[in-house]
Amino acid sequence: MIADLRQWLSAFLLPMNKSQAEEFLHLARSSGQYLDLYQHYFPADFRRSLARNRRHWLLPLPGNAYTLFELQFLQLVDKHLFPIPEYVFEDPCEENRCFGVPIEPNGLAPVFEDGSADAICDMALGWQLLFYLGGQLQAEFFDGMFEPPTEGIFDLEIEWGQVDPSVFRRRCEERKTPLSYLYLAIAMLDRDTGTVWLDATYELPVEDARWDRETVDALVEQFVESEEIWERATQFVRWLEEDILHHFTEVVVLWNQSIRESRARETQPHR
Amino acid sequence: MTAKVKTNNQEFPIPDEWVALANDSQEAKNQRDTRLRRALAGYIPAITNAQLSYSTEGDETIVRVTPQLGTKGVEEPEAGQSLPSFFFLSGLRCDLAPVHEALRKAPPYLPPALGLAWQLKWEMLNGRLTFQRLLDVQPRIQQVLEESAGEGRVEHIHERLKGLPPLKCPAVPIGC
Repeated sequence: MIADLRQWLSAFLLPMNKSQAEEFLHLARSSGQYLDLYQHYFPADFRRSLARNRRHWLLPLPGNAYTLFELQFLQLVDKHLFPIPEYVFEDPCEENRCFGVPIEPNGLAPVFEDGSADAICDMALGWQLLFYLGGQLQAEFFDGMFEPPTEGIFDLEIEWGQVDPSVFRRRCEERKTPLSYLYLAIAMLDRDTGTVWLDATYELPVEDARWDRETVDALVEQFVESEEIWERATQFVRWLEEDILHHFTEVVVLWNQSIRESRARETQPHR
Repeated sequence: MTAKVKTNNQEFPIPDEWVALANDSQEAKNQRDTRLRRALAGYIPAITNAQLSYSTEGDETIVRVTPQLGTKGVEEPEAGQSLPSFFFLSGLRCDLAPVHEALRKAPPYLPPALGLAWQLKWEMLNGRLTFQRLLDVQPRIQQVLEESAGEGRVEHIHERLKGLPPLKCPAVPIGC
């Protein structure tokens, strides 16, 4: 009770130096951004909440990360736009306030952390084979996993070199689904999908996403796109696992073809 | 008559004339103290800021030197030494007169960040910081924060100075 009272009273303290003043202004700017977005994306909820909670302050009290309105907004974003990390709701103390958009790496992020060996072991076999295709895993990793003739896939010659993304994509899209989604699965492994949700990792997080309309619109778009990529890549992986011998052979053929074409393109004189 | 100096941990004889008084006046006593301090500064560095008390024990004049607690500082510079003028006999003291003068002459100024923060805080506490008001003031907040980013250099310098390790004093501090 006393702690609450002290916390409440501390809201009445005026900033006494320039640093404190700037800190308060940053908070006022951030709260303004949250409320502007609340009103823009969820106008009906915003009007209702504002009418019901007239006595609530628009800036968080000392000790709190968010106001009531901001928490409502974050919950609505999580429900309708894109996921908000759980920690935002679990520990909303003052120092945990997100002045930018908190983005939780999705997709294959755990694989790219330190000590990722366990994470790779936990992955589906199809993903592991893609790591083998890309040279990140050796054939020994699969010792004892396959019987003949399936183990013959490790005798397939895999071309090494850079693949031109546009060539690879075109070659993939010429095939029937789900093989046509191979380039999306590879893009996920390369963290090159063009969506923050699949490309960010815990070691290389996205920390500069601002709470403004333009950024939120882009994030909404990217989240939808990342869900589609994730779904299609998963379809491909399932297809690969259905008949590893034949399907992985098809993958290698497609991969080699793309590498050779990319190489040929590189050596062609520029017109 | 002989004369002797006693400190906390040492005792040694000194020439009688060092403690001799021309007369009983306060000025003569001050001159004697100054003379003693100068003569003994090389042996008892703390004497420059110490309390001197005189007593007689038999035929001896005893000068008791009681060091005063104080800040670390520098010895009086010898003539010709190029110490800055703000180095005094004891302690590193800065001559603040020019600073005070400059401050008195400076025009009144409230950093815009502080002014705007007070204004908004006041409105918030009085229930006047409405949603619309908070939106309307956003451009001004942005402007003030951008402007004060440059002003923050002085604070930044203070922070850096506070965080720096101590450097060697340009003169030997008293007591070393």
